[in-house]
Amino acid sequence: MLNRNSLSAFIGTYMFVLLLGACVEPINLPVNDADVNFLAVDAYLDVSHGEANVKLMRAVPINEERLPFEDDAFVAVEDNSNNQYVLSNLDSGRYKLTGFSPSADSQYRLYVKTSNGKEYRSEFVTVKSTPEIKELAWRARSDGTQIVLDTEDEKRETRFYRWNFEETWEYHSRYVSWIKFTGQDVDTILLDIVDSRGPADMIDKCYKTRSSAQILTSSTEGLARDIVNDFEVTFIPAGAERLGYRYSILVKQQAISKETYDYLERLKKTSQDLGGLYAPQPSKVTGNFKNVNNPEETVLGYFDAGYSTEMRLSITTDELPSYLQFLEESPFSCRIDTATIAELPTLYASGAYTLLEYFAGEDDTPIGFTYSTNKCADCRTRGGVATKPPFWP
Amino acid sequence: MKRLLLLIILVALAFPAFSQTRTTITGNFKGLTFSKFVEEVEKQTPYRFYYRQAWVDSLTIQTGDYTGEVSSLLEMIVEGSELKFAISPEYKIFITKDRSISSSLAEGFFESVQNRPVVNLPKDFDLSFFDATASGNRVSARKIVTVGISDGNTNPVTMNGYVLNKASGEPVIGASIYVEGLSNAAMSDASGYYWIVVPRGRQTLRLQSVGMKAASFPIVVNGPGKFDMEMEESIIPLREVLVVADRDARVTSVQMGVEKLDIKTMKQMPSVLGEVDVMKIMLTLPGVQSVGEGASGLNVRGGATNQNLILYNDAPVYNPSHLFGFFSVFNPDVLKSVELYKSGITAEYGGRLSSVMDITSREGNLKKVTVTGGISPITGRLTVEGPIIKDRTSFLVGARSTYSDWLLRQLKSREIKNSNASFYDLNFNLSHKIDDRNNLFVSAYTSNDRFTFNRDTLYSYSDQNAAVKWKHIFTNKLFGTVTGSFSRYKYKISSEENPVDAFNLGFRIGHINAKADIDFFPNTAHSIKAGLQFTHYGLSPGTLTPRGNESLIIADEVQRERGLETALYLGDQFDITPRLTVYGGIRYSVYQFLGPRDVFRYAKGVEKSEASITDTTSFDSGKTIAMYHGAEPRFFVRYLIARKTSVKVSYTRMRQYIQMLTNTIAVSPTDTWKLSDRYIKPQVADQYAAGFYQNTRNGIEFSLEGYYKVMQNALDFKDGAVVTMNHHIETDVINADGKAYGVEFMVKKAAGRLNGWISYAYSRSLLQSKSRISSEQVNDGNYYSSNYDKPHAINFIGNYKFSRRFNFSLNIVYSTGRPITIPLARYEQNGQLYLYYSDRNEYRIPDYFRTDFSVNVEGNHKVRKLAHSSWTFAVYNLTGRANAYSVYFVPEGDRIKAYKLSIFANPIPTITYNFKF
Repeated sequence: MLNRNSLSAFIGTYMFVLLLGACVEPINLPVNDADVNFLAVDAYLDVSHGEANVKLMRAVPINEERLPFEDDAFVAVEDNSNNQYVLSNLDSGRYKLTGFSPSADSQYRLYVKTSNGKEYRSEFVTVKSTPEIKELAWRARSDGTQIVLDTEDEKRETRFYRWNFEETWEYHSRYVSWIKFTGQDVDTILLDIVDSRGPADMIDKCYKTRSSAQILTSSTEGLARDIVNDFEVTFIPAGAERLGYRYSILVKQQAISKETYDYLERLKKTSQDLGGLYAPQPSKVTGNFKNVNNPEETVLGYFDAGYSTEMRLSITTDELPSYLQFLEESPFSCRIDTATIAELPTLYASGAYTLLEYFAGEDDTPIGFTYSTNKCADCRTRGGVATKPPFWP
Repeated sequence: MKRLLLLIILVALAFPAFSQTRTTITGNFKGLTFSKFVEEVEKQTPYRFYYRQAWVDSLTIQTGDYTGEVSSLLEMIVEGSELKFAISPEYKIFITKDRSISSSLAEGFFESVQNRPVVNLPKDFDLSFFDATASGNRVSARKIVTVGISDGNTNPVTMNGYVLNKASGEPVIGASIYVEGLSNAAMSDASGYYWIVVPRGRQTLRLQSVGMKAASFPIVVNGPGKFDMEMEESIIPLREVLVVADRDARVTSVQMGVEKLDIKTMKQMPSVLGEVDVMKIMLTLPGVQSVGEGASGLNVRGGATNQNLILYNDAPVYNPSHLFGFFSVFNPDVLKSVELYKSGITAEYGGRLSSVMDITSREGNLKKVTVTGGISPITGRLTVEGPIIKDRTSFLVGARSTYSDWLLRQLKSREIKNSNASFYDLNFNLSHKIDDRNNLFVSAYTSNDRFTFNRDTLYSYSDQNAAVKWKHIFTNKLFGTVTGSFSRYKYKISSEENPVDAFNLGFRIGHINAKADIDFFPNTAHSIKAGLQFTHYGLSPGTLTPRGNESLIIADEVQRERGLETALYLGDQFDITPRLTVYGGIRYSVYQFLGPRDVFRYAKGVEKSEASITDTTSFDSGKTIAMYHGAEPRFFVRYLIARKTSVKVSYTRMRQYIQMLTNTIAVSPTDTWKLSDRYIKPQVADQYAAGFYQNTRNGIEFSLEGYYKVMQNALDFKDGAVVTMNHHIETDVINADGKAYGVEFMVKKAAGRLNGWISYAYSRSLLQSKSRISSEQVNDGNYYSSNYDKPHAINFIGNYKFSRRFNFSLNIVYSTGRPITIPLARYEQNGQLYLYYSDRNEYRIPDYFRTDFSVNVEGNHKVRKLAHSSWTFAVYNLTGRANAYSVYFVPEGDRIKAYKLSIFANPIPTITYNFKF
């Protein structure tokens, strides 16, 4: 509704305006290494798919990179009829429950007992039904492509919404690699070390998938109808590689309670509105967990349960106006080099190069090769996978 | 002329036998030259003429046969000409051109004035020619003047009147008046009015004021009387430096914690972007802080920004800032002086906890029309003033506007390029002297700000106020003032970003005040002030309306609020002995929160929230929903240890019935105000202060003040509180108690080529919110630093006059960094990174340090020329230190990095041109 964040943002932005000499620079704060080894629970009971996913971790000081996991804990979903559904520990602090069948009108909470014997419980949460997404569409803006959605609950019961998305896009390497090294023994049979790639083996087309990085929520409280219109799910700047060939986004919609909404709103402020004089006071945000025996202990994280609905939207680059299409650059200063067969073992040993094509001699045996760096010829080096996702045409 | 006079005298001596009483004359004078006529008159009568031949050369007498008084004949002769005459009791006739003269000495020229005959002056007697007369008593030159009528008593009497600027006729505020050789002293008030006790007989009154030439007036005091004095401005337009008009006021006055700055001081201090800014200058005084460089609010002695009563010509100002706090709304060309009371607030002021800032504008020039103005990089301003009726009625109109739009267009960001900002302010003053006993002042002010962000969001706010003040002097010892004022502040936000939720959001507060004050001076030892004040508050805390046909926003309005504050006060300053003075005052305020209104009732013992509402009670219009009242005693003592050394103690209690709702650290224009109601109790503060003051012989002033302040019901907010369109704000606020304490030390040199001050303040400001409900308390109920808790602050303000035209100023400012809440830990939720914050205000941003300097160059020093102009070259933040304005955190990869934002990270040079003609 009233976008208070954008209001404070614009005031904040305006502040910069006059600030003829304004500048931003890094600063070291004299923060003592406070004991921040708090348990952080991330738990969701997905009623639609009958599964619960829990991740147990520890908080770390902000300048530390490692994220310690909490394995070997006893984790269970409890309902208000005293039933317990135990989750099994996978790895990296992940716990999972599958084949869960919810009963109507039940309330659920999560119970955690860590390996050091501490017991934690969340508050009970109520499961809300979720309406379908009405429309998911893209819009061309002057500076990029906007993905927007509309949704409506005609019963006017949802009121609070949360969305997550997974976006997948195709991207290509600068050069196509048609041949590859095979075998291990470069000294014995030179011819064996290169081989043509089959279709399943090509590494010029990759697919990258990424989850939403921000909390997306909306409230229709105060509106005459329970309707969300033109909610911006994400924005892709003009020229971005994401829209180079084909882009696909899967948006999941969840109806949430007012408590969850309030929690997420506050949590949002702890990650996105970081400081600024007109930003609201950042605050200590703790979720709905408590240490059973010591309520004073800080426990982070939230347990929620609900149904989710989803919708997918795909865009191919031809659909877009040309000014929004991918602007190919050569960011890695790519070039093609040539090598003789004799040089091949050195290239192979370095591991930094990918072969592109070979020049055949009279008897169709290779006498020389073109090659480039992995970055320019192997799309996998840039984070994606070469395997086409199932929903790709 | 000399020869002529000599001749006349000789002629006169030659005819000593003429009757001394004959004043009539007979004859036919037609066709005579004036000289011949004179001969004839002197022949027939004892009259002797004194005149200049050149004046009468062209004059031929037209009167034929005539028998009668010489004076009547002379009247006929001079009629229609520029000549005037005066006849003295000694039978001397003085012929003058253009002006008539008084042929007797001013009354009181000799000590034995009582028995002198009364002289009737000609009707057209021109007082201004003399500047001194017995009846006008308006004096600026060294002429002895008699005050009052002798009644045979010998006790000292009270004298009163006005101190006026000779050139403009405006009152001179804060002029110190004292009787030479005696300790009796007085100071002129905001309308230039003074009263002083003087012994009868021949005395000399001395007069001093900042920027004015010192003056002295020989007087003969016969009895109580009225005496207006004029002072000339120092022609040296180089600003005299400072500040406290009476050099010894800091030592001798009974009040403590009072700072006074006049506009001249403020104008010569270096300013950011060339705008002279009252609010920013206040920050150079000990005990005054703000949260950041562009923030508009002041924090006085550990108080919140909403605890300052900012009065502009007696009417409160709710948002004193332009451009979200970069400039204050007070046009420097219109201002006269600013007084800030940090403690020792007398009983006539009330309604805010921490301070009173009394801003007075100038009155228009009573003598001639003048235009002043200036151009700085951000604004242009123009002020026109002048008399409507000379010496009685004057007006002043000031306007200031920005041309910051073009600045915005220079910026690269798309959103900012499509933005525009503008502001203006207008001032209008009218002062009218009805008669010697009645004065009327009318003042009106309006300020408007508009800002469009990215073409689709419009933000605007305005502040308006007006005041009418009537001052009546009943007797020398009693005068009264009746003031009616009105203030209004409103803001509006419109957004068309998305047609479906396009909206208008508005806030409005209206403030109507009526008060009557009397000042009574029963004898030399007491000065009593009493009064009655009514304030009506009307608030519209928020209205939300859809904008456009597509908008689905449901119109919503937060219930309006009404409140009435009534206060009665009485204060007496009592000089018990010459060394010991006390002030005792009491203010009793009654506040009613009025209907119509629906009031929620909440379940007891649980957190107030929508869920805990149990009932709603409706109140009819005018019904009292909540009532609070209480006494606000004020008590100050001053003891003079030596003539220039004193100690003072004071106790001040203040009550506040209106609070600001802000969930941001700086004052932002979206902050709304809230009246005390059933759940939000009035704030109460008690301040205890003690101080030591000493002035040295060479004009250096030392002062040391300590204070301890306790505040009840200060408002703080729950984490993530919402203040806009909140129908039940009581669910988002926390009741906090505050305490503040500190020591302020200041060394000041107010005059001389080198002048200025150095101050150091140690001050703490802490809050505590305790509640049985954990979400309603902050930091587990322990004391925590307020947002503006800055323990150490050092200010240096220096000024050096190289010559009459060049003046150099240097400011150095240091303070401890403001407290902040910082992220301590990070953790993952849903694959994303979140932060866990420290306790509220547990950490601090880096310390603040800044140096500014400016050079004022005056135009040439010819006193009379078409326009006076001056240039100010200033550099703000000379060292270019990047002071942290705020610190914020940005996730980068797997780490969080801290950044600081500095607003004026580079030296900012500006040139300002000022003119006056």
